[in-house]
Amino acid sequence: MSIYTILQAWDRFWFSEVSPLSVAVYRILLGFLTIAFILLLIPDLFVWFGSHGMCSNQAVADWNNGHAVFLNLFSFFPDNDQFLVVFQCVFFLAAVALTLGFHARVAATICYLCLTSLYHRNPFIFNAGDTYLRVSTFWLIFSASGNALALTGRQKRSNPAGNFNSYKKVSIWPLRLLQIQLATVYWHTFFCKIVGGPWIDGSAVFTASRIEDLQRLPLPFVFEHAWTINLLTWGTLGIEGALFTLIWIKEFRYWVIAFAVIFHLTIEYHMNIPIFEWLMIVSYVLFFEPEHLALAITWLRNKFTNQKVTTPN
Amino acid sequence: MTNKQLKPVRKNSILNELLSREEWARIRKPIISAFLILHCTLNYCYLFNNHPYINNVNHFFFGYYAFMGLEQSWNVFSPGPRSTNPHLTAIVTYQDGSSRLWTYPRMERLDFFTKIPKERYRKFFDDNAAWNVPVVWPDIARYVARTNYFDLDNPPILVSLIRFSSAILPMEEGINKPNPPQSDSKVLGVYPITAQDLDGVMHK
Repeated sequence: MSIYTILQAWDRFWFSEVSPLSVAVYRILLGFLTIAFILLLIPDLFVWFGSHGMCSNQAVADWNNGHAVFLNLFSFFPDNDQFLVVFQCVFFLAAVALTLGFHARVAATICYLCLTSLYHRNPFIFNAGDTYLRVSTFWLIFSASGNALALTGRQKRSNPAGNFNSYKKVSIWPLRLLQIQLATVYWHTFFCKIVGGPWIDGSAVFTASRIEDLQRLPLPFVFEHAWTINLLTWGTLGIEGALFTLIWIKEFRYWVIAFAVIFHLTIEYHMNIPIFEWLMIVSYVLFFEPEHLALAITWLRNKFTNQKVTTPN
Repeated sequence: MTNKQLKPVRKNSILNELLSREEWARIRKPIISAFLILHCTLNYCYLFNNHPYINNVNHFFFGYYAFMGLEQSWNVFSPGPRSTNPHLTAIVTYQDGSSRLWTYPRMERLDFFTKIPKERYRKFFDDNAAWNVPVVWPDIARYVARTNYFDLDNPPILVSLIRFSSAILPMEEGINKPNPPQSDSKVLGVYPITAQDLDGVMHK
């Protein structure tokens, strides 16, 4: 292998061109989940971020030892509840714009700023799903997600005949970043689990099922038999291992995604971690071939509208 | 990759003011590559911080990484799931000596639909405040005092925060058995409440 070969592989992986369709579909789905994130925060907005809430600016500064400077729009208007309301409204509008593809890059930037500000204002209420949403929105800023299925720039970018297969190709590196981000989640969680203990001896799922505050709906039978618990524990490791390895191989990709969707839907049924499982599920769209997505969207459009347009390969 | 594959700088782009199209085409890939290498390296170093050299990298870039909110960790349920069931309770003591019990919306007591938007309480209390975030305890005490200040002549003067918990039984002992009651208790703190803490409370 020569250096030239390595450089060529680097070039092919990061700088080839691809249809913007998969990242655009991801943008829409992520936009919906961002809207859900905002709406779910509203009932207790002042409890978590308000001037008389449960977490003061001072407490967060103390937690950070008062040293670090963070990207946080609340720093400009500390303890200002009117600003909090305006902030939430702007965030909501940006999430809607992101979903619709109205100046998608600007909308993604505003969503990222808002998510990061909320996180830095009160980091104690956010779970891994929120972290994933924040980081994904950051990578989305660099993508050409607005170059397909978007409200603005439609005439310039999409085929007038509505053929989802013929969008002008864009640089692939932002899509790669989003794919690597997803793989990183499973890579890290896999290696944190296989160090030993309950994931190796097969009992981890039992303990997880007994965490009372996480339970949503009961799953009969499976948590009351050692063999099903062992199977689910080791199966989890298997699926998470496949999600950063086999998912990159075309022949295995859709099988891995199918198992992963079942895996996350099972967690969604049993555990109350809003948005997280859906975030993971919608992220698999990043690994879909654009032609397959085009076929699926064409089928959906034909199903729900009177238009009958076929998508040539 | 040849230059014809490169995306041209857009006409109205700010880059057009700074660079010619040829200049941008020349530096585009090295700049993007540097950005990619930097962020992939930072993610790796932050997630697998298991060597002094890696720690040095994290230390050097932490200002940028934390400022941007890019720090991440995906060690949910690892190396093992949480092995305790906790909840936090507050006792509000009033000026006349009476007291009142307060607790937050506990997930296991909420119905299917209510617990979805209330999940933040689980994260805040059960994962963080009940254990390892003492900096928020005074804020919680003040919040509880404000939300339990009903009588203008009888203000809260003291809030005690108490954590209750129980260990989850290991699998070999716990199958087909209910969880033990959350009876282990620990007083996290007793916080005096001043008139200033009660500012902003509206009375009818």
